[in-house]
Amino acid sequence: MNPLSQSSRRITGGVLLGLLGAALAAVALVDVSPGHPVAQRAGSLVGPGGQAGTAGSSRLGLRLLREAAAAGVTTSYQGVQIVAWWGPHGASTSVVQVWHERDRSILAQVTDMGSVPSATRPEALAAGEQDPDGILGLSQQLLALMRANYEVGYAGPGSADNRQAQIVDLRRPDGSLAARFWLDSATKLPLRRETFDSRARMVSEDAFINLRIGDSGLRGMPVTDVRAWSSQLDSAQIVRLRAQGWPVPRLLPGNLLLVAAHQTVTAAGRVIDLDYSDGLSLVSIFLQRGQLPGALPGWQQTKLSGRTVYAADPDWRSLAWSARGFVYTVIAEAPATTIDQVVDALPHDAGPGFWGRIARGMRRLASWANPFR
Amino acid sequence: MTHLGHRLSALIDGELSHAERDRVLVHLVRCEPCRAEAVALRTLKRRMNALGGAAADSTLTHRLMGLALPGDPLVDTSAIREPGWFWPAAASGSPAGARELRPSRFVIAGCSAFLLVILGAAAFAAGGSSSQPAPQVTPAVDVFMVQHEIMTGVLPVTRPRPAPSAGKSAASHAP
Repeated sequence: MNPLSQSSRRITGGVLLGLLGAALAAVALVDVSPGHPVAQRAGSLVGPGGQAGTAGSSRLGLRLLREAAAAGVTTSYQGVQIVAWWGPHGASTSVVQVWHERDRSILAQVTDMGSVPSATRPEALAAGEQDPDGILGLSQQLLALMRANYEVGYAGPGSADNRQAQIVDLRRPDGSLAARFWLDSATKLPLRRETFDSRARMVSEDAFINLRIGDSGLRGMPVTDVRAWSSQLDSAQIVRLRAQGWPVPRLLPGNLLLVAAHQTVTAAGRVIDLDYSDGLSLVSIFLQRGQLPGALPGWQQTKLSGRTVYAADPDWRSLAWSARGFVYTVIAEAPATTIDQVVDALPHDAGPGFWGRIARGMRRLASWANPFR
Repeated sequence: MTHLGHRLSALIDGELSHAERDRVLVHLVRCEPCRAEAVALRTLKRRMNALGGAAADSTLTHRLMGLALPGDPLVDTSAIREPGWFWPAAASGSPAGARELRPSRFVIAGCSAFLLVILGAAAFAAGGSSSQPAPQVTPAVDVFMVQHEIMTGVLPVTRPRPAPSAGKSAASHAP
């Protein structure tokens, strides 16, 4: 055989092997890209859930969650949390300083990302764009919704933030893992929470990386004058709103139940805040009469479930659109599929169509030609 | 056998184009045998038609014959326009009236269609924008975000998010 031909074959084989290796490396790199370990980790979490679903583990899990909700009210603590979120179009990570004084609300302050450990994800937003969504916390109201929508189960012991923990799983009726809580064995405070979508992809991960129990950590606690909108709407007021044409659904897709409604008045008019939750997710809908201007600087026009909406965040958790005389602003902490369903379920303006436009034009022409109008 | 072959029967059946028909007619004017065969074919066709089905109403027949008439002749065919030869005898007296009616119908139909198109275009243009003008509102997303966070049980101690610039004005209306 021609030596030149042999050598060229070796070179070709080497190139092919090199390309194959590069391709495998690329696949491996893609597999460990920020969005994908989520699925891997979720898959690895299916195992311990075997205990969930039995009556004993369910009772134990519920008891632990109740104790966690109570501990969240009665225990003072201070710590630092990592709050990570994966959306369909990006990920965000925040480092949040948290203070909780007994029987008070949690105070949260986003810290500069310069203090983020190297293990956190590089897609983190600039500090000014962060928000302390997803801070670990449980309430009796959320617990009631969790019981209504998920199967609670004790998944065994574990550890988080170098503390002994008890793991509690929340599973959907189809058995898929929806959330996992690590509760401090000593205080029952939630140390870590991971949530997953129905395809076992991680949606969020919130974890203490430095928790100090007791009042000692509260020295230097900041003050805030932020308050919830004072005007909370009761059932009768919500009924009146509906009668006036305000779209106030009682239930949204994903078993999201209307749990609170507030209103305030701004120079732009009345704003209604409707909060929906299934115990894990929280979706807030802000309603205003009017329509969006033709251009929204800072917002990105996009399509969601085939609907044209504006997104204010790179991870699409703040969405806005106008339809039928109302402006809708949705802020959601929920899996992407749930957000899609919620957006799809709310009103949107469809084009009038050719004949609809002709009919509308005919009516207008007739009204213009009417000398008695 | 005539000089025209199958074109003669095509002429009788009205299947020739204008130009071809004119050429055949010119030939018929000059050729006695062909003209005789044309008469024979025409007679045969008329008799064949008379054999089948009920006789059509004469008025309808005249109208149909009038519609079937060719356009203005390119050559002078007056010499061969004799009843029983090419032009049907019953139709020979009426085509002028039928021709006078047709243009007026076309004009009416054309004008109506034109007006409809104009009206439709005007209606399409007039029906374009929303019929309910509403005030323009820019969502104060930073204010809404704080309220959303409070609903999660957390009071944020953080500087306001840099909301979209247009939202700043609306954001100033904090509760």
